[in-house]
Amino acid sequence: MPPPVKPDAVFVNIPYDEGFRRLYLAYIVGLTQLGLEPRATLGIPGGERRLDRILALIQSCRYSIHDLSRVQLDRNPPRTPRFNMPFELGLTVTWAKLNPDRHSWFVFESRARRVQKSLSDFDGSDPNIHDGTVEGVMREICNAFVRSRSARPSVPEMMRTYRELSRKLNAITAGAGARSVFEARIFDDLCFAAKAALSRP
Amino acid sequence: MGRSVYITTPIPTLEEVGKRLKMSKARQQRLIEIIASSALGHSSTRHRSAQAPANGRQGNRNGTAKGSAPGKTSKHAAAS
Repeated sequence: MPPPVKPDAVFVNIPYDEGFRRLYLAYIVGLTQLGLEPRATLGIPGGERRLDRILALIQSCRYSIHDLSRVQLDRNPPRTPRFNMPFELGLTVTWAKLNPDRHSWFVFESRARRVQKSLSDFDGSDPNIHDGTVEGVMREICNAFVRSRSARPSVPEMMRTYRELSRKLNAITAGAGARSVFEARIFDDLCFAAKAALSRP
Repeated sequence: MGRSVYITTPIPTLEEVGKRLKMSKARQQRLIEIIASSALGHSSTRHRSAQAPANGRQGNRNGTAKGSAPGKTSKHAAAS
């Protein structure tokens, strides 16, 4: 029995590494500013139940974003591609095919036509190209998720919030006693802090 | 894949976000204070830059280096 769908929850399928830190924060800020709820696999422990929990997380979200911009060989031997993001995209596509009223998904990439090369099954679908920039992520989030004009934030507004949160990132991480921004607790803190930054008079 | 979707769900309040994340009030308050201190820091930076022509200090109200476009934060500043 799948879990109930949260109508404003967005499963964010992204890499958790320092090279992606800026875009990680951009996704949190952009989605929060649109009144959506970012969800991630951070905090899901390893083990045989992990896959079940990832699938349950996908099923509980009305939307998902799959950022394939860092599907590449890692530096550590043996050098292997990162398969987690495409794998979770595959799970999502299957779920959405079987339940089209319950889930909509988006693929984000940094370069046009790269995904058509790395994932040719994707031909016929258009990814959202963010150019590997924070502003590009904000722009593409706004293109993917449309609100009525009165509730629609502009990209410059999102960038202001991003810069403010970015300045306080170390304080938030240190305040929680965390070593990395890619911890479940910090993810929650950043979602709340992004909202707090928006709500500040 | 959806090219775009129209969102009609209400935008949650800060309180609702805190409740959804199951955050304690103390934790929420700590984060609110961090964000508020950010605002104070920004104000302080603007005050200093307003005096820059008099004391010869470089920089502008956005904290960007001398020579950057006014009102535009550098890529490095946005990334940090």
